[in-house]
Amino acid sequence: MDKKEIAALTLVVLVTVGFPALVHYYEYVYRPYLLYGSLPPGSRVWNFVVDAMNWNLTEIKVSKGDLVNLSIHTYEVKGIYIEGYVPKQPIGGSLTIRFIANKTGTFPIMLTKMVLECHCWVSSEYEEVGKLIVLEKENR
Amino acid sequence: MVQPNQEVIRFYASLLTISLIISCFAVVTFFSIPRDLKSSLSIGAGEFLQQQNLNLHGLLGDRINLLVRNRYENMYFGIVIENFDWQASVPPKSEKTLTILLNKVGEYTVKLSLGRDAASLYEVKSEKLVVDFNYSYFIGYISTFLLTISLLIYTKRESTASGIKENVAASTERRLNLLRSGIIYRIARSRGFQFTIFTLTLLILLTIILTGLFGTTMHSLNFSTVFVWIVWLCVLVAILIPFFARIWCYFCPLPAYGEWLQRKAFVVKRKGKPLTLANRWPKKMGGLWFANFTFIITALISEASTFSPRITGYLLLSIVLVAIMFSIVFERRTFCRYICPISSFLGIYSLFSSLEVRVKNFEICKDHLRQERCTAYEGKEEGYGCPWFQYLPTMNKNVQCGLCMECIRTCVKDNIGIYLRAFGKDLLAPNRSLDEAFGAHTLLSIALFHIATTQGPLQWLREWGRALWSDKFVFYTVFFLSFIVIVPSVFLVFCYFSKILSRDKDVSLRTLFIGYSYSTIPLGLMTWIAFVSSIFLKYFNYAFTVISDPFGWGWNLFGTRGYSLIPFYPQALPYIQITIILIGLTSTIYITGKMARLLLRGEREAWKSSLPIVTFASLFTLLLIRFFT
Repeated sequence: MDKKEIAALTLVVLVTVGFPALVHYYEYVYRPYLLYGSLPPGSRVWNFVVDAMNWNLTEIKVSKGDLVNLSIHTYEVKGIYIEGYVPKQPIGGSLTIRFIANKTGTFPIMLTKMVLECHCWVSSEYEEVGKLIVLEKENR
Repeated sequence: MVQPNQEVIRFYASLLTISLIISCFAVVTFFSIPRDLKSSLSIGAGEFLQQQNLNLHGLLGDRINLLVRNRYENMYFGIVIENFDWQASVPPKSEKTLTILLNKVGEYTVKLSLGRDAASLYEVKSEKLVVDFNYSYFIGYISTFLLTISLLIYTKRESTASGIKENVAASTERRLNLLRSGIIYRIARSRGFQFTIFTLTLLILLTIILTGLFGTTMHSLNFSTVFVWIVWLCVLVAILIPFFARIWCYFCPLPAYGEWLQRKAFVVKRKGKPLTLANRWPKKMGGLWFANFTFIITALISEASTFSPRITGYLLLSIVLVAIMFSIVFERRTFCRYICPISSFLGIYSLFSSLEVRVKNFEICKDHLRQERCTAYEGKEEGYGCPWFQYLPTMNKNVQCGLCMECIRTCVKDNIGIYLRAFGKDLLAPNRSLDEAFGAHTLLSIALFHIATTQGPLQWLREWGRALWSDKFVFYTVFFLSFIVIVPSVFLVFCYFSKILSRDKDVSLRTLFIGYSYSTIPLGLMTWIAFVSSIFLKYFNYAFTVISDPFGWGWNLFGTRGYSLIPFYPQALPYIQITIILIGLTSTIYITGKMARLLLRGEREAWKSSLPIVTFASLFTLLLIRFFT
């Protein structure tokens, strides 16, 4: 087989098989290491699951340095943001917000009042559905 | 006393009639197709009227649909617009949509009141209703009117000049061979360069399929939907097709696996038989018929696809698999030519494009063909025969030329060029066919349907288009298909008038319908460009978000994840769209004038015959302008 052909075959295999493998490695191995591995000693990982259409989580109380995984599910489209932590973004189907609580204080969790019919989560009216409370480690 | 020439009277009478038709249509369209605006109000315990703003603001001709939810047990809600002759009331414990048609310009006081019964309401709050003049529609109408009339005068003058038919042919011969440039020549001949581009586009295709199948279901945060239905669509329609014909086919990754498998090679040409059963596509199903059908199916599910990364992912995956299957069963690029869902779209609009691959000198081909068969079609040891089954010596249209550059590599006489040429040259090429005419109307109808459902009065229909597995989708399909039937049928009626006006018994209605259908191609392409320009301005900045976070999993590869999603200057959109569509109208009227002279014998008959077609194009333009504004 021609050298050019061997190089081309290698490239095609790399793209076809290597690329999906790289994506898998990044999401399931390297990124968790980046996030979890960089947590300060003694920090915790919090997993919260909530339904956006029937919000029942009034308070998320965590310590500074903790990792928060907030999974929100909904069949309709709604907008969400957490003042100081998560910018305005839509939820449709499911959305996992993942962040490290690096600022102490009380931060309102805001959700759009209405189900959105368009890409208007930026301009829609929001209401407070809960609070994110980040405490200093020793205070918790 | 000098009697005015009868011909001159007829000429001015024709212009006056068209002016009246356009103006009447403009007024009727303006008031019969209002733009719907939504507002809502909810009153009851804890929902105080004083705390809510209605924000009643619109343009003349708009319709405000005000949804009022009265949750009080025993209180009536009343609304009166002073000096506007409009009032309404909503009984307790009920919900009502109140429609306000904005038919007067000005600022009006809106009084909101409550009371125990409808007769004794007391005012609680007053607001303002502001109705502005719709300048964009007015500008659009005036421009359409002036353009139509002035172009008709121009085509009339041109037709009275001598030797027009020769001029039609001569004007299309000016062209510039890009292969004179050494770099372009080397790139066009290089298989390695094409392979490199293929692998890059293949990488993007794989990203689309993976993100579509495994990424977030939020279409606006998923790479597959954003890239395919915003970035790719806009670039393809607005840049690649008008300026570079089917250049997309040069680096399209969809048939790549199939072609590599068939050739048993990536970069070099292997000796021996290709890995294919080499069946021929049935002649009965030739032309663009099947490609038109697959485009209709794809366009039908496009509404659902744009809102579902999963459907987009499966759609592309299935196209790749079908393309592989076709390259095993059929010879060369049968899939690309006859089946590919965008083949008809690319082929038909490439007729308008400013790029072509053609033989440099037909005489060289003639001499060569006396000695041996055309190597650009048959292939030779170092190169393949045209994968698109194009016979270069006689090829005179872009429809089925995939710009794969294989002929440039294979022609032993080095007699092939890539030419920059005048826009719309192929529209006047002699071999016109019904499949291409039908394709042109299908594309025009689908563009109109998409604009009507995204910016026009059928926006409510989009929800049905997304519900792929429900009964609603059946009704959506009926609406969709009715556009594909109605638009060509209306055009046929205009062609019938064209035949009557021409008084030429030798030209059949079929010939006129096919010929004039080609004239609508510039208008169709510009309709598509106007459609994608709205997508571009509203949603293009989504691309910055998904490039950093393609799966919507919270990645931030390039630091652009939090990029603003606010549309870029949306106020300019109607004016941009009007400009684009007027370019389409200008080209269509110009081509119609030339086409008429090719179809009919006499110059006078040709001009008269073109009048209904020009009217159709102008009315279509006005309808679109109403949707835009």
